Amino acid sequence: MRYSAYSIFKEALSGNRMWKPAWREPQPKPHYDVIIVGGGGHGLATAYYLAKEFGITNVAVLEKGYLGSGNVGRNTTIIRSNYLLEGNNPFYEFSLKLWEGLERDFNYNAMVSQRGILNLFHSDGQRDAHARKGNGMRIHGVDAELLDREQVRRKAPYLNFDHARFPIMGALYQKRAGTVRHDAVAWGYGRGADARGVDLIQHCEVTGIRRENGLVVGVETTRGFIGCNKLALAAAGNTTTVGRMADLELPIETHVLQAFVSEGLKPVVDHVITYGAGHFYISQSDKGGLVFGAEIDFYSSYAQRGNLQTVEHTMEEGVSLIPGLSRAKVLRSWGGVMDMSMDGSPIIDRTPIDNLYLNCGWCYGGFKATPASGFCFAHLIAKNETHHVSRFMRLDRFERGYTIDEAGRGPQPNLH
Amino acid sequence: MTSYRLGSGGAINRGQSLSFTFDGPTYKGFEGDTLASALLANDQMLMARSFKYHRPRGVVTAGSAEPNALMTIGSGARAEPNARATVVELYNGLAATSQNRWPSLKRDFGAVNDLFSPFLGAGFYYKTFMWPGVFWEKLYEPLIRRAAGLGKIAMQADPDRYEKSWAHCDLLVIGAGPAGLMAALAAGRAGVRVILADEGFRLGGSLLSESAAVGGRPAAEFAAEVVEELASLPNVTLMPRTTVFGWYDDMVFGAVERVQKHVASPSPDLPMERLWRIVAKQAILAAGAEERPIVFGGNDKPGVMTAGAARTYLNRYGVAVGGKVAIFTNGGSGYRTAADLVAQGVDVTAIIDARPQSADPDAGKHSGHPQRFGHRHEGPAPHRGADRRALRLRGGDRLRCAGDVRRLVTDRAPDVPTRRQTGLVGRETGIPGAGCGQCLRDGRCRRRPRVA
Amino acid sequence: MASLITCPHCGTRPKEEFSIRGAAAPKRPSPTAKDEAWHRYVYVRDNPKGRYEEYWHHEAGCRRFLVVERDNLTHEVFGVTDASQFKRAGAAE
Repeated sequence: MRYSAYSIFKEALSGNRMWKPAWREPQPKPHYDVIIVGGGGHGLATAYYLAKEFGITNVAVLEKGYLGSGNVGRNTTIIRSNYLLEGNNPFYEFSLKLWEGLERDFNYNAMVSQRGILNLFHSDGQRDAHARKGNGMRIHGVDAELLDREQVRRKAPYLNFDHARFPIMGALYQKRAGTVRHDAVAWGYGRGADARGVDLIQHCEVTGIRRENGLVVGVETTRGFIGCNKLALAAAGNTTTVGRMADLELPIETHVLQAFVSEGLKPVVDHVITYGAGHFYISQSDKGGLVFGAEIDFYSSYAQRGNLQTVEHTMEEGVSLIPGLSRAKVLRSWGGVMDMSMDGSPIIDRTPIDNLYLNCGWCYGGFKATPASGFCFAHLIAKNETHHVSRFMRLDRFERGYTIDEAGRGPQPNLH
Repeated sequence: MTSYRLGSGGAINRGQSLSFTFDGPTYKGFEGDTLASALLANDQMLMARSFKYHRPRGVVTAGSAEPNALMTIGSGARAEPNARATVVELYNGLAATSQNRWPSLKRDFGAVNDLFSPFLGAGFYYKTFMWPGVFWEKLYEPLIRRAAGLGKIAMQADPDRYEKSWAHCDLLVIGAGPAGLMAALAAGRAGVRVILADEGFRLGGSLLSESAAVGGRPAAEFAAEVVEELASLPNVTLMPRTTVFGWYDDMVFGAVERVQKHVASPSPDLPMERLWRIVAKQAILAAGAEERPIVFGGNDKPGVMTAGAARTYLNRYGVAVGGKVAIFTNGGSGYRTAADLVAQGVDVTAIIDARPQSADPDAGKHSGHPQRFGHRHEGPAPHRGADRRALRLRGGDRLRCAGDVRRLVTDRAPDVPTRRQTGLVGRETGIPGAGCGQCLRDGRCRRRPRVA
Repeated sequence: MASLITCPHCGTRPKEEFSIRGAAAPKRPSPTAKDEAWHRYVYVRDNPKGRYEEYWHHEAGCRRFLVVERDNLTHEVFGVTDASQFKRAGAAE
């Protein structure tokens, strides 16, 4: 069923009784051309583009929870392409372009809202770094603008301009950046994939990877053995656990990141704001909740919950940037597990096993990458060759000395 | 305007009258009132508008679970949006404003949404607003953003200060109801370092809301005696107005103490709120139970509230929730509420019991009131027209009630939020409360978080 | 994890006093070891779910490097040792 204002009108007149589920609940078939492990944003996007762009529809997505129950359902929803390095920028710009046409592409309103991002800077050195990044973006044909203090004040008068320990000096502004309704991304991709014949199999946990003669022949799951020609992993924080089933050795550590949403408030924050003197980011959802977060909890963890110290730290950063936040109340918070890579950049690549493909290392910035990640991963799986915008995101780059270290922090996953 | 304040009773200080405003007009309440109880006493049942359809909303609970009665307290840089009137302690000069309505709470233009509700079903926005592409950001999204949200945040620098502290104890008791009080008392008498934290401003929990007697004395009096003894013990720290919001690793608990949110003119020498990190060797969750409303059409109308809330307003605040009250119940709580209301001279028009017959020993005591067993309350005809005073029962039976009928509904479920923090819900039964049986009244004591 | 860490030198202290320095299990190869050994040491991580050894630097205390052995799913701490006393399981090159 095609969604539109007309469909809503028509269904309303018949008492809203004719709506169909957005996707089927199929039983797993004995064999698929491609199995994707992980029904989050990246896994679902991969399935969608495999079917839509590459005509491969005999595909199953296996999800141990429910669709979108991982990080795509719980993140701070920011999209942007303000990256400096050649290994990153064209990829994220490709992603932003896909976001821009996404709703009409998959016929689902994901509320892509290009409200602009302000990366604040608070020192001369930081301004230089931002200017350099902005120039790098413009060389790649990406919009970027360096704003001075007064220009920032006009856009976001509620920021702490008067008594800040680290005075705001300006911002790097990307107008085309913004937010997307995260759940709708999972549901839109899922629905689009399902409509093209992909089997979305929920509550199906992969417990083993069966290999014969050095190739994957299928996966053991909580719902029995399922065979496949190609196996693709998009398991985020659980990448190591799944990869170990195929003896993969990975440059990944799993860490926990917390995020927070306030109660519903009338619109006040009209942009995405990031704090340069700390690591805090905030936007306001269309529903009115302030959505914000800061750093990871810094220790290795698979527990989907964080600690009080990080909560405090996040609130303190928020209030020092936006003093008016102190009277708002947090409605909910959560912790998700992140696949932190050793250079802070992702991996979309083949593995030492010929028909096993890997998509991981998104750290805590994977949401904005969802469309491009899905597209490039589908490209890789379908054609067995890397898409040109993801050509730097190789598994062996660490060995070869070609890390993509945007932050320049070295091989310390908890600092990226 | 009728006053629903009873002539006597309740844990309020009738000698200390407080005046406050709600959307302009000035009202009177007493020391010991919450904003909600004072509004009810002044016959202000309409307190808010719903988020999407702008339906009229009244109070449903008498505590922190309140979903409806959200309002803005104060003004200027001190304005606090989305405060729950049921937990806002009344003070002289308090200024409350309703939210999400235009031009006024009574006549809210946004209620027009309700007429279009068939077109605005759950998630309708995912299915439309996609064409033409540029309209989303130029037209649709600004409209949706403006319509969404409840209170307005001032976005000015806060004039008040805040602080944080550590506290250490052998036993943290969360909740000062009957279980928490007795646990704290047993542990306190044994010389254990105890912290007793409760979100309310008066310790006693449900003891303050019930007409029951403990050891021959009224429950509230009993609670006051226990609190007095606890206060006299040097090893016991009482922390009222303190919400324990999280249970973190190594038995560290996060709590917020509202130091002077209830003060008319806050002292600059004190923080407004204090964040506590409480390290406890052991802890008891005695957070009690939340009453769960029964689902029926029209149960969101102002005037429908949980039975426990009605008892709290009656017994603790000396406020009758209405002149005539009908009760829809599926358990004993409904009958207890009826008994309390009748004892205070409130007219109980009907008791409708969802069960085929009541096994409740109290049921027989209400032979004076029309009782209907095995009925399902189908609510007043949803929103418009219809006879608002009729309770429609299954099978076409109609029960007419004269005057202002307020319906009460009941069901109970244990409080879970704090226990969710460590991901242990559903695994409770596998965890023994070893080593702390002596201080355990509600079977929920644990030494440390364990995950199965 | 662990809101409190028992430092072998300073006693039980809040987590805020420490900074976390990453996996303690990898053993530093000899300077002359092959590139492959160095690659594994610098970049490859076991990242197990469960028992985990991690360097914690007691920055606001004794300033010693410690190894905290703990469960990274339940966040239970099994033991804290000074890094100089830490014995790795299994031999590296």
